[in-house]
Amino acid sequence: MDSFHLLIAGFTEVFKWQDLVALVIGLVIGMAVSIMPGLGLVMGVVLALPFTYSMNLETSIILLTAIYMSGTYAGCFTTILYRIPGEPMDVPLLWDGWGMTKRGEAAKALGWALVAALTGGLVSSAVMVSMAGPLSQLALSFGAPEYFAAVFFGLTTVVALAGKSLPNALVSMCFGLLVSVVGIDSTYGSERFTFGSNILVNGIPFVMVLVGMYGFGEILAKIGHGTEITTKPAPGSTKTSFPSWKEIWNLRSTFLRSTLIGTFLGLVPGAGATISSFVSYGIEKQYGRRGKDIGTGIPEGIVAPQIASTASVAGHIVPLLTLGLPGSGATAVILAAFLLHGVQPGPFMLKNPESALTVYTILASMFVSVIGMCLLGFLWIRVVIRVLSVPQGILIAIIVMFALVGAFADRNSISDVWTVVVFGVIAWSMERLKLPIAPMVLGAILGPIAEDSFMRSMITFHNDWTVFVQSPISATLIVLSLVSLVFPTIRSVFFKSEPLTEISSKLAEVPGQ
Amino acid sequence: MTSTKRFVDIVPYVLIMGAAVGLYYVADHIAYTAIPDQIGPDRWPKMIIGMLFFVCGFEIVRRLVAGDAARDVTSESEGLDASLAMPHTTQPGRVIGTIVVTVVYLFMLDFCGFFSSTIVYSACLMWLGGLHKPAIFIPVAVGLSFLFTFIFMKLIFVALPIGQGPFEKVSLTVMNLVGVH
Repeated sequence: MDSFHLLIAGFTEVFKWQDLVALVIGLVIGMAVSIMPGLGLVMGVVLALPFTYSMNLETSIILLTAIYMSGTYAGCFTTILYRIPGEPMDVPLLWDGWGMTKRGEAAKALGWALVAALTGGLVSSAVMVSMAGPLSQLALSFGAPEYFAAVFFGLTTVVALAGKSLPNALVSMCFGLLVSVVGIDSTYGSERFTFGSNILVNGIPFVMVLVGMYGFGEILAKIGHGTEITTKPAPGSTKTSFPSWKEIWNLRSTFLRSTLIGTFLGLVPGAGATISSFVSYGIEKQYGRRGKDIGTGIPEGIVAPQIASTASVAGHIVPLLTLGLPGSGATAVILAAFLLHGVQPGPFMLKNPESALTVYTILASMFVSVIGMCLLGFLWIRVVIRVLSVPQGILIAIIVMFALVGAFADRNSISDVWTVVVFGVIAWSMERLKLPIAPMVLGAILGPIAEDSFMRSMITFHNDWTVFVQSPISATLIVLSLVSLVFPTIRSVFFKSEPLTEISSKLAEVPGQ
Repeated sequence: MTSTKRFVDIVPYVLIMGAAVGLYYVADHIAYTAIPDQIGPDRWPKMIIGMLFFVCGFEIVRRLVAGDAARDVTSESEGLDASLAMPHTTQPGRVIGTIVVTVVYLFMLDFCGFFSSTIVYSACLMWLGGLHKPAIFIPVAVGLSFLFTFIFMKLIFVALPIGQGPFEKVSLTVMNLVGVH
């Protein structure tokens, strides 16, 4: 069956009742967590993970992907209506979205955000679906050195984009890689860093690292900030008013530019929705037809970041499905869901007709998710937005209980809960030391793949270190990795340009961030 | 930057370097049967530890040599990211309180059972999270405990601890109420 027919078959699967219900629930959860400042879509995906244990693979991945997708959209409501960015990616929406609201054009601003999310989501999903086959074919030609180079590239870009300082990001990545070596090694079967503890012999499950650092750790940080959410929504209209075709046509270059930015930045590991959103906004301000007016409340300032953040989702999901490499926290959780069901995503999935259908069902669910989230946003956001009225203390208790009991539910093991608590405390401590947590989490996840491909390369090629630069693919990836490591220096020069510096300084003023 | 401030800044890196030395020693003593001309299971962790040591050393030297300049450059280039980060912790006492009640909760689970200990734990979390009205957080804590017992025991079939003695009786009563037999 070719890709098109597989996609059609995938759509048929998505509309089976259990998948559809999971998708709708995922969209609602994604919306709820993304409108709450301090709770991210990654946390939503993490907290939903335990509920997927008893589901079949397709349903569970559809649920998590729907949370991820709608998490990039719903924040626009609170940002535009109440000046509360639910996620960092929503911050660029604030300036123009709130500007339009102040002029009494809130409904129009919401309409632009909806059209942008719909366009970005659908176009990038289509582009990425068309790339799934070729990417998978390319991945099939990968040997151990190419795989190592690909993982190395993933790790270095995450380090480069994790921000703060490069050394701190590298330290964090090393922590993650060291976490991944605990336990029995797969080549020799020898115990490493177990310190005589039986609990550590089987290694540290990266799912617990994820739940601890993104779930419990975030809650500790939230409690530490000591800020009661003062977000009782003021009575206001959540009505959406669509722009006309002519208005959309006038912004065609913004639509095109931002979709391309979001889609292809999504492919870069570590460059998630937030970076896509900011880069797209910055480029629109610098090169857009009305760039000088951005920030005063014009539709381009809403369309550019919203398109890019939604478009980045497909850019992240497809490499996960075809290469087996997660590029963000959310896709790492989705990878965990795959592994919990005994399936390793990667190029071989498309070779087997049954698993190929699973892949295309998940890809088809992205299209349905985009349309579904826009419909839900249009019809039900009034209900979803009420989550802002729930006191912070109650939300904290609910989230912590989901994190802890969810961890316990995996293997009925209290040691897993301890792992979550320990990594939560580590995440909070790292935040205080200004060490970013994303490189550590991805280091813990990609570490075993990196070590396995490194060991196989060394054993197969008799310890020849030049093997990593002998094939064009691995050489290119290694060069790109080295370039990405010097990227922060380039970025510091790049951000000296006026519009991005302005964005950067305005960011510091954002409430709730 | 004062010398004290500079010293405080490098302390974490010095500690990490110390830990790296210890871990390298542990890696050097990993037991395995060596195969001629083949790298052992210690090579990969040693490479990571080496990188960790080098990066920390670099950062210490950079901070000591560059001083104020290093701090300024860092803060300037951090602009975007620093603003994206969450605000700094202003109430570490609450965080430590949360960690302590969590540890106590985990120790009490086996004896008090999930239902009873979760009521107390979630009430503590709500209080630490800024909800200081007992008339609200106590009934909500009881409700949440019921809800989680129902979700995890009835819907996801997780065998949560039921406790001992009187707590076991309470747990069994609750399980009956939520339909778990």
